[in-house]
Amino acid sequence: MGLREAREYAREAVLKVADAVSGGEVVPIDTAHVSGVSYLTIGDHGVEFLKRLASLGARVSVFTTANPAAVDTGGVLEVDRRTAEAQREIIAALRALGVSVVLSCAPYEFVLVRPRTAHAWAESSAAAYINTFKDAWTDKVPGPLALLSAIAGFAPRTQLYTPEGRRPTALVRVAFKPRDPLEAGIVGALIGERLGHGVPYVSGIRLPDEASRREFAAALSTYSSIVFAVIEGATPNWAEYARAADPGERIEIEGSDVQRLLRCAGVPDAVYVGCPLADVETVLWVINEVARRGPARRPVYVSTSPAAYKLVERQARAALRLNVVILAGSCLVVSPHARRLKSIATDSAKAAFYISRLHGIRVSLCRREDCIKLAYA
Amino acid sequence: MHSSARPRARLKPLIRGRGRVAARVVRLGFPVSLLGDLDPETGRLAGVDAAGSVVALPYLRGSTVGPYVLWSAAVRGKAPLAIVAERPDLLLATACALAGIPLFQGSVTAECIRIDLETGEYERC
Repeated sequence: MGLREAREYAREAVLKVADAVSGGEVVPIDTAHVSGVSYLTIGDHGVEFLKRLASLGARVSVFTTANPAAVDTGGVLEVDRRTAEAQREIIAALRALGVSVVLSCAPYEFVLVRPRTAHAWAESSAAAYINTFKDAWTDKVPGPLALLSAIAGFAPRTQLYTPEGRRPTALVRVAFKPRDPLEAGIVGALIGERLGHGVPYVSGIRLPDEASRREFAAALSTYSSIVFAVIEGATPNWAEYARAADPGERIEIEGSDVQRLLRCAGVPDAVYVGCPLADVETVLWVINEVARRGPARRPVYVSTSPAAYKLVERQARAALRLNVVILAGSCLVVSPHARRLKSIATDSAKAAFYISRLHGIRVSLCRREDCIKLAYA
Repeated sequence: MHSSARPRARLKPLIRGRGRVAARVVRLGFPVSLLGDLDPETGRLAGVDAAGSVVALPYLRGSTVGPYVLWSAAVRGKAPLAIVAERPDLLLATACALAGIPLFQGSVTAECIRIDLETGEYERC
């Protein structure tokens, strides 16, 4: 089977899914983002599928990026031999398919998507981010479907690719001003928990910085099936969405709700920052905070993209002496390394959800400053 | 009773197959995750032998890695012959398309059905 046949296989598979979910309609996509890159999450079946697809000679036809892996590119995380080997096979197969293996769950950092363009992004937090903060259109596409869509060049035209499907279905009033990424994440988690699905129109909230936007999108999509919220004053074209809203539900988020979810208790084995992957500013903030206090008693893990890591590589290597471990292209959600720990403290509502479930370890949800203090407890 | 006189029912075809087959029905009253609940080596789904059967379930839950597991069962010839779901979604459709398994929307109460994999028309065996 050659390139043409492989593309035909992908086209047929995407069309079949479209027949099932969107009356056969598809939408051409500008970019794709593939999840299910870590051996921990896709296992041997996923490896086998990716290798088979690559051996057919398939290639992506749009710019396609990939999620973090089970092993970091700096070689800090320790994993067993089989995991290391399988992870290499996965990355080799993705490269052969033409995927840009950026190993980041925050590809919006360097993929500049324009409003009202269509994409097939598989990572739910990234899908929520570009829908909400760029008004770029994507559904939460299952990992293998994102890859097949990338090869085919189109995706099933589900509701979120239509103006009608993007009309707000609920009004959310936030009577609380999030001051940091943790509080922004908790507001996202609360909206997700209370609504479950649909498109919320959120008023009364101003997210203070980029890290807060990332945490909000990640938590919202972790605690619900929601991957698009219209935020008054922040989402491009928000006024148009306000006019189109057809709200069936109205809820209010108060400060007391936010305080209820904060669970910062006990002394953890380690501290974890960077879910979704931290940007350069956050990485440097952690390094500086720890440098000011001297070497930490407990490890402080920070995950970031290999691209961001390159920019701070010198500082990151030096930070190892301070017990700050920078993970490039991996994170404690998708790496089995997390299982060596019994408990962690993090400022990410998404990490708290997945790390406790996937690895069975205790997670405290604390402000970033308090996380750093706990590293010295 | 002659087969043509039997009452016929119809399931909504979402991913069509070809041909007519008679198969036993594995009815699950609860949602399953393909990752964890399906053993692709044996075809057992939630502890029941589902290889070559029509699986009827309410909906799918769990990991987006699920499609890979169903594909793996299909490659080994251990996948269900067809899946009937009350609430199919993008994940289940992706899994079936990847594995080449016909998918229908609806519910089935019979123990064994003869089904047209293209139209979804069926009758009790």
